[in-house]
Amino acid sequence: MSISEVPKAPLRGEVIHEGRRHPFEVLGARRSALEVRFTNGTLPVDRMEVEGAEVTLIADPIAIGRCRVEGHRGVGDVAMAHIIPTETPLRCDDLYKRRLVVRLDQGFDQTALLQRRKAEIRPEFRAYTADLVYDLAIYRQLFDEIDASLANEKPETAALVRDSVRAKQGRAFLRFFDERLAQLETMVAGFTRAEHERHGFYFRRNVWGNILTSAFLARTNIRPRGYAGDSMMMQQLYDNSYQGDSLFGQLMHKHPIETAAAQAVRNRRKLLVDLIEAAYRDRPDPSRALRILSVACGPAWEVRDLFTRAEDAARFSCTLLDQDEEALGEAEHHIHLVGTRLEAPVQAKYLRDSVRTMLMSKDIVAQFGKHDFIYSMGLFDYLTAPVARSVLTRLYELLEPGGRMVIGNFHVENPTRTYMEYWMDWVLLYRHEDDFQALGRELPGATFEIYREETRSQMFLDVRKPRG
Amino acid sequence: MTNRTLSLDVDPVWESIDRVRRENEVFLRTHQIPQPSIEALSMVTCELMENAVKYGFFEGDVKTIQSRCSVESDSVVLEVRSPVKPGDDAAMARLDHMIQWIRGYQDPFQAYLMRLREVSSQAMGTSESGLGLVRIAYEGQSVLDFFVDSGSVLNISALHAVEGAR
Ligand SMILES: C[S@@+](CC[C@H](N)C(=O)[O-])C[C@H]1O[C@@H](n2cnc3c(N)ncnc32)[C@H](O)[C@@H]1O
Repeated sequence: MSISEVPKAPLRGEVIHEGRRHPFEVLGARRSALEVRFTNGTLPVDRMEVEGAEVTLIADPIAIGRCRVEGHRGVGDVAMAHIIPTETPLRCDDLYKRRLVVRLDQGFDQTALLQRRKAEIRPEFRAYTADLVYDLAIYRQLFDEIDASLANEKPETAALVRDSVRAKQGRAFLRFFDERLAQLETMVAGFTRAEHERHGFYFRRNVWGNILTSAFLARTNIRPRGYAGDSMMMQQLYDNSYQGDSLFGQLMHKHPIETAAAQAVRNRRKLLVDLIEAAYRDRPDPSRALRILSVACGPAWEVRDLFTRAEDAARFSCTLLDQDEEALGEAEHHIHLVGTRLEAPVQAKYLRDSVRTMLMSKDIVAQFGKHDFIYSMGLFDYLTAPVARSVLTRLYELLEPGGRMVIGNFHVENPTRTYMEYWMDWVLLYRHEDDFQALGRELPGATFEIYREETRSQMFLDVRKPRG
Repeated sequence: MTNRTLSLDVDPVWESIDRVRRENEVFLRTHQIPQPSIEALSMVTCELMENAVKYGFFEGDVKTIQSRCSVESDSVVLEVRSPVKPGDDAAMARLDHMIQWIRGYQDPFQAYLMRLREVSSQAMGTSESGLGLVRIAYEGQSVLDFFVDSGSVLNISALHAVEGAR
């Protein structure tokens, strides 16, 4: 979770050893160790425990108890060391980056609270979950036995055997998973929102070990960048392959990316290329490149798809906006590679901003430019109506007369919804056609079309601005 | 048909918090919103209003806080608008991260647990804990969102599904 950046003022503290105080400055941190430099130029001890240490976050020093000091071997500066709190292990990275004193064992205080929660779970749901966990364990053991039997096999032979197992027993397992999911959907169909939340929480605690075997499910649940749908998850969705070290893990990875919602993401990538090509053919000003803006572009795979011949580089000029620097960096890297391969550099601009704050700009056109084709996929499912309405209004201002804007949103009928919420811990704001179109009610002169892709889980609002 | 939106424009003083809470309550009652939802929304109103009074920047053109409570077919939306200090991008970025992090969990209880661990161990009043926002999600059963408009006014909203709707 990245809530705040590293504060400017240095973090300082003191180690107490044999009654003497040894001041240090914190230079960095790992999860359980602080990386420090003793400011008087020497280590008080090396590879030994000291009786206590204190850190000063803002005002008064806070005692962090007994610690071990380990000098940095092999670095020029002899006063550098790691301090490892041993009396009360701490989340040292949070101490350094966020100035929070969090005990590593803090969660244990919540065990009673967590245990009480299960009283609110319906008996039939408990039975379903227990049976599922048992049945998954049976499959897991069987697949693990095959992995173990292949451990000393030649890699090519093992790969052939794994292919065959995935094709037969693997597929049978995926069908078993489908059936169990269908039962889950029936069971929770009449739940209130609060019941979904409670039961989803209980469910994930139970299947957590299975979730962690799957690269995709682990990532949707852990969300290392603090939000769902990051560029790594998008890559996994687009790759749609078996990933993972074990057969069971590979199958647990493949199953969620074969769903209707995942297919919808792959479908919209193709659809976008077609829409952009259509916009190019209808472009209001044939004397220049078609100007495209992707909002919440992520890794922008569809932009890479757009450029297949050297001439394409002159046909399009792209502006890509995302809140996530890593996603933008990835987009930039790959689009640059496309340009290199075609020996024609792609015209692209990369903007890091959040749509929630980009509206702040007084002169939005000066900042973001005017565009012929604007699109946003995988964003509006996170915006509540007041925010979605104002984002849409501002984006419409960025549209050239005769321009077209296409916005994606998952439909309430998304057949993967229960799977996403219960297994992936992935919640979206679903919309009906009416709520979706209502977002654009106040766009001056706009005409609308609403359609869905083949799986019918993803819906598109296609907005056209009249020509001059 | 009765008006389905209540808009209030109030001064950024502590007394306004209670006034908006009371008026929203009366309004929600006239629209037959169930009592548990009214209680949840009262808590949310107080949290949002308190933040606006505490952190709003009233030295520019905008001197008041605007509150809106709208009853929709399957939900209630509360909106609170207050000016922010122009250029305070870091605070807005933190709010953005925090809201995305909270909303990342299907069950806000999980965000609440995580936050509680940090707050109870903090032992000092450093960075905003964000616990108030987590309570809006958990106890207030509401989905938070926000944007900042071109007049540097923060519009923070909470969407509360009325029981029965998913
Ligand atoms: C599900 S991905 C979709 C990426 C891409 N459009 C695609 O279809 O492959 C969502 C992207 O939205 C970005 N995002 C989420 N909230 C955002 C915001 N408030 N402002 C800008 N980008 C945002 C995320 O960083 C992420 O890259």
